[in-house]
Amino acid sequence: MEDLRTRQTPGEETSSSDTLQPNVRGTAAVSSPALCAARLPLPGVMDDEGRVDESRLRMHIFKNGGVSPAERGLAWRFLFGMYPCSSTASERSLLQEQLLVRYKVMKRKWQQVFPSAVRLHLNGTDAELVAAVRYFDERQAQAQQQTQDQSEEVRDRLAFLELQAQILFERVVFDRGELQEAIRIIDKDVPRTNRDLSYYQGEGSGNLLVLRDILITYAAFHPEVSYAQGMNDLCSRFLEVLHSEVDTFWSFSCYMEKFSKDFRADGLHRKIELEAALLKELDPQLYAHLATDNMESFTFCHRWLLLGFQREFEHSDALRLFEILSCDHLELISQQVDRARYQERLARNYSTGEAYLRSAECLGICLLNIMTYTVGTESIQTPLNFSLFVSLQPFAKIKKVHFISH
Amino acid sequence: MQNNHHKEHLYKILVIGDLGVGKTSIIKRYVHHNFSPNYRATIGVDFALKVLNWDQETVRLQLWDIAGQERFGNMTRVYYREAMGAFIVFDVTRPASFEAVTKWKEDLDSKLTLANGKHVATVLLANKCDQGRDVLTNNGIKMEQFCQENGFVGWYETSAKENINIDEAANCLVKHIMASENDMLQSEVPDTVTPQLEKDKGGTCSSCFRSQ
Repeated sequence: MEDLRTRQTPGEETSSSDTLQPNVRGTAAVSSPALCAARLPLPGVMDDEGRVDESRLRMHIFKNGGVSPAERGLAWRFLFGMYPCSSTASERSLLQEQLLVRYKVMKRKWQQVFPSAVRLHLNGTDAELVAAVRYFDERQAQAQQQTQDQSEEVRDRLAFLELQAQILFERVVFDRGELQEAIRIIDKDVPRTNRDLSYYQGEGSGNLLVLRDILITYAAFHPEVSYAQGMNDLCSRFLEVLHSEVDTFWSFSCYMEKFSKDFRADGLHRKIELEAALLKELDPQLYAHLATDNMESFTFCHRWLLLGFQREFEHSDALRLFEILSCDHLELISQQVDRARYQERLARNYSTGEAYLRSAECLGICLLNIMTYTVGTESIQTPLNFSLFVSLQPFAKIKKVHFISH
Repeated sequence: MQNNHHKEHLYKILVIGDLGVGKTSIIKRYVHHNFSPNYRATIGVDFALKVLNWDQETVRLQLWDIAGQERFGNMTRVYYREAMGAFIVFDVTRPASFEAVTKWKEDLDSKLTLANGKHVATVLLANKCDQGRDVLTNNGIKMEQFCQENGFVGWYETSAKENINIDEAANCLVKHIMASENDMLQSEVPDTVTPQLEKDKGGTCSSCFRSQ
């Protein structure tokens, strides 16, 4: 039995296939205003003025097993809520300016309180990190230049927005001790973000510093969550896809509105308990087996659930899975009406579809069935979301490997 | 291959300490004999298994690599359960990580005791000793005193990078775990029946045990 207990999680050490490509994207932009007016080329998802049909977008993601990497950046801005789906392209252009200015004001605020934390402290042993700071500084200088080149009209508008933002954040008072501790941990973790990704290679290493500023700003303005280990990994996903500091900050903030409780001990504990309850219901035999080996605490699910399998799958697959899980399609649609449609689609996908979608659909039916009754005698208040069901997949694999080989 | 008298031990060992002190690096060095400067932060808990040959006996060490941030502090109770020994690690280049040592030790002792009521054997590791030395560890006598006062069975200056003292520290811990195990077996009053579910020990009267 100790074999099972001590076996490394699959994929733990495997570097992603993307490691060999050089990064051609460089350090992320501060903001990406051009995307406000960009069209999302998904059939029937966007109207003429640029409004997005949210349920169609979610369905599209679910049905197609994610969007293509080229569409991902724009799709995520809607999916995670940085752009309201009901906004038109011209409304978004104003919103983008507002978000840019707000973020700048927020960042400046903690930088004024902790001038010594503006720059990452280097101990000199990490040459890559030294280079990363240089690329980041170059980007800062460029951004400064661009600001100076703005027309007077734009500058006036931004000045007004800045005044608004200052009023908005004026009354925010930082807990200095807490924030200092958060910065200490962020500075420990940021260099430990998955640097093997092509995104962080070469000039892209400057993105580590972008990530740092986003995380500190988030921690400063969300003292109830602050920073917890693993947020760097999650935020890194957003940065890689959105490739923009401001957009990443707001998208990550939207994501955290829903999931910040996972980063508090009680929240994740509850999720792990649910996972255990779900397995107990769906596979009592395997659950009983784990229980006899004192594994019923399911602590090994911690990372799967917290990071959405980021370290368990190959990088691009993990990104797709995260997108599918985040589309909440299953959770949002009416169960009764769509059940039949799923079964139909499932049958079709067994012959033509791809493996991912197939397992997603299987789990979908499973989810619909389960959602109609409560697990065990205790009624479950926290909704059983799709990711809990996906987390059961590795169990099926373990069971196959373990029970058949012994 | 193994004869019938061959004894096997399985010990669960915790590796705890402030974040970024090198817990994962120490385990990777000890178990996989390698080092990388670019490990990712541990989320939750990771596991590794080390097998030792110990006086013709086999010792399996199940190493629990526990994430360093206190955020998930109340989950540590679950992680600590049934551990037989622990390493508490700090980073000699960061005095704050040494201050966290007593916090970890208190947390451990308050949540985990052996069957005989004693605390589990714990070894203190002063890691990254290749990168410079903390004032405190330069003063060996003070460290000895610290260990005595705080109930550590020993301390080592280690370097996962340069492979310094890691095997030695592990051997020290195993020695103390075995001693406390013997201690527990001998201290049992012969008239009392203490059922123990230790499947690894393959005792001579296993059928009696099973029928209980």
